[in-house]
Amino acid sequence: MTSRWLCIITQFLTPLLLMLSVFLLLRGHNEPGGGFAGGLVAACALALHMFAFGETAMRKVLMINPRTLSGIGLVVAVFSGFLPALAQLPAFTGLWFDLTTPIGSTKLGTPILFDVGVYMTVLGVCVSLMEDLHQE
Amino acid sequence: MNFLEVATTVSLVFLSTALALILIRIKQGPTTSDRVVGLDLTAIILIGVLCATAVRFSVESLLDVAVALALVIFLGTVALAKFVGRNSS
Repeated sequence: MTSRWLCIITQFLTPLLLMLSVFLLLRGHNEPGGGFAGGLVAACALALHMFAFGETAMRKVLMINPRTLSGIGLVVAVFSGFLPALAQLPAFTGLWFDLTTPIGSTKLGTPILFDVGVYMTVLGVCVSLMEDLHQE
Repeated sequence: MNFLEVATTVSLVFLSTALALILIRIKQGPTTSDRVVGLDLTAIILIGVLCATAVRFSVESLLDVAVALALVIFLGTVALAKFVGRNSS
């Protein structure tokens, strides 16, 4: 039923869009981007996959119920907010620590965890919305 | 005003004119297909506006927006095409 060109383009474009979404997620703290924009781009990638190959194939790519994913994302975001409270700091304080790897050192912190939570929430909500629209 | 500023300003004026014409087409459009093509063209012209604005005011981050928009924007056309195809069949 779906056109062959759509299937071919989807096979190239879905990984590209997913990579772009992760890129947006990771650069979000200092430059434009962030969890919300990254989640929207990832949802677009999955919507494209759903248009080309159908809903069951998209669920296989996602590997998890989108509603469960959005719930996990909320829990992760709230947990990252209350992590500084365990260290006797005001809630939602940004905690940073250096991570040194063989290829260089970088900074990790609770804002990244918060962004990952937002990413998962936005992805789950948008995918479940599009599934409902697709079923109509 | 140097040449680059003149060029980007003129291109922004032309793009705005094109956008206005497309809006008329979307409003009148005898068939749904005309409206779908008009919406797609709106997005493409929007990418042009973003790039011209990025050059004119030297805002680098607008180029990232243009890249993301260019990757994502045809999704709406695909969705509308699916919708139109399902309604007609």
